[in-house]
Amino acid sequence: MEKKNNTKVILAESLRSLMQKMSFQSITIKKICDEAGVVRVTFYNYFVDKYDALDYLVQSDLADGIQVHSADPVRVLIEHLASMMMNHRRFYEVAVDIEGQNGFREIFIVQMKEALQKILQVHRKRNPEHADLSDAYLAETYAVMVFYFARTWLRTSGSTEQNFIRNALKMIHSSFYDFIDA
Amino acid sequence: MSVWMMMLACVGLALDDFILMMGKGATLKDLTAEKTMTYAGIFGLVNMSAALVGYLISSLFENILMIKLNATLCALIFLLLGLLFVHKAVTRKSIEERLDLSFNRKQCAKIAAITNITTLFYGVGNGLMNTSLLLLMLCAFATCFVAVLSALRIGYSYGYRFARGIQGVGGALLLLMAVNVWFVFLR
Repeated sequence: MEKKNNTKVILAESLRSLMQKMSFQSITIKKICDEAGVVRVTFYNYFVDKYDALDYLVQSDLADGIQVHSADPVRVLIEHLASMMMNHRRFYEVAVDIEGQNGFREIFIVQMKEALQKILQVHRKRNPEHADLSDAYLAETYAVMVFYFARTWLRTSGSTEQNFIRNALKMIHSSFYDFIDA
Repeated sequence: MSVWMMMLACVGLALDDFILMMGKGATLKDLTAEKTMTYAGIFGLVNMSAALVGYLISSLFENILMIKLNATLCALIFLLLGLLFVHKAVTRKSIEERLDLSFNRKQCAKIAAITNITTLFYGVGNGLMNTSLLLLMLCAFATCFVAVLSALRIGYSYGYRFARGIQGVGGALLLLMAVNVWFVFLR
């Protein structure tokens, strides 16, 4: 079982490695397997297609940042996200431009939404005024916001990890009314 | 029409099946030797049947049309098929390599029937030229069987590659056939 998981990780990391050298569109399953040192058919034992492998990478990267029982799980998640984007910057710069039905946007939002929903399930304030805003709705709204924030950060040269953490938390803490004079 | 020219034309037509099944091979997980032979056999049989049907359709016209008109129609059919293949080569897009667990013999037969409509027209062309039906059917089966067999293994092991070039070669072979018919029968 451990060997199977290792092969899965190796294949996924091979995709990450290739994405730092070439466009996602030009990456074939054969190239991923050659990079991983396995035969082509092995890929289908673990993934349906390269988008599935990309989804696995994002999920694995985010996993350690989901600590729902910590004192400030949102800060932990954002700090982890910043660190992960910084460590694999080139990969995420390429990934964020993958568009289409199975694009990176959809993959990232689904994973981020799941993470935020777990936090809400444990820490949500019971406020009757917000009763009609479900956990899923809130999680998805903030997941979309984090995605666009992360995308802008990735496309800004010279942006730092501290800058990511500070501004992301500021956006999450604020409401739109904090930015307008009304 | 000589045997070699007939074989070349059948190869040209089979290259379309080759590209399609190379793409299919790239999406399969457990492609055993038995499955490869079965799918290649299905394609071969369907291709052979299409050639036969086309040949029989041509017999509806053989008492009506003169030889030169037959040859003209035959050359025109080859020309149009050749241009169609070249057009497909130019406009062909790469496929998304995604695991397909639903592919089976029934789906294979369906795809073969649709893809080999061009062979039906080729059969009409051959019928108009009064080539040997048995030879036509054997060529149609053999070239398609070998093409699909190798395409599946190549796609399975190496993925979807060189489709545009291969389709272009197929188109060129059919255009060559059109020129051949024109030179031999119409000039």
